[in-house]
Amino acid sequence: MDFINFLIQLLNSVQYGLLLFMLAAGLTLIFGIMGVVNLAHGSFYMLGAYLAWSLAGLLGSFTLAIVVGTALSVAFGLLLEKVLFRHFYHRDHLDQVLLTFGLIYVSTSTACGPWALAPSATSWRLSPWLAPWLGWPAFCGPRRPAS
Amino acid sequence: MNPELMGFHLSAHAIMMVILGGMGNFAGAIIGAFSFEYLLHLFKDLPAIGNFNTGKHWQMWMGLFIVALVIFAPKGILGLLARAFAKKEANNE
Repeated sequence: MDFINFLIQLLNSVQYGLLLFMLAAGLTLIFGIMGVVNLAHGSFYMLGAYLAWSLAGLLGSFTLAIVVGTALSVAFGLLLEKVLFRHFYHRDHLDQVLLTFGLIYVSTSTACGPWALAPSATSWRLSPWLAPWLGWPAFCGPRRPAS
Repeated sequence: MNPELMGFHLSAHAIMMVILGGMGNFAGAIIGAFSFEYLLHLFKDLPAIGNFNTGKHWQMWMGLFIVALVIFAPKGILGLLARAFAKKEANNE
């Protein structure tokens, strides 16, 4: 392996480590301070990423997309707290785990279903050179041709 | 046959079965296993509405079902039955 490849791998591992740290820190903060086990933490993370991504194409500004995407994600989190999580504060941790496990199913199915935000290379105005790498999410499998 | 068969989803399904039937009870696990498999097939066999194949998105219905179950029947099917019988007996007396 030459030096350039090593540097690329190093950067990849650093960014993945940062990503995992951010997720884990959020999860443990919510568990430690609020006493809520949120298995669907990653789903909220995914929602924010998807929102920012599609808003970047819609608004044409990356900075604005991050701000608006964050605001919308927070609003969604507050809505879920009002509708669901509020009634689970006094319940067992296992109940909270089950609830959020159900939410994982819903969010996974939503992300891979017909509502999925199909990425289009033209919508990414910030960096067109990034477009070829922003393909269809790998975990959804190959996309079915529109019939 | 692949390692995926014994993956995360199997453990999750096993837990789901016990929760669905009723926790801390041998009969609950059995009832839960039967009803869970039945539900899974029910969700997977849902008909397609127009262009939208509802059966393919069984995870969505299963997720919503789990959420509803935890909210409305945290003690599972046996808990629901016990509650129904208790109400009936209270009415008889």
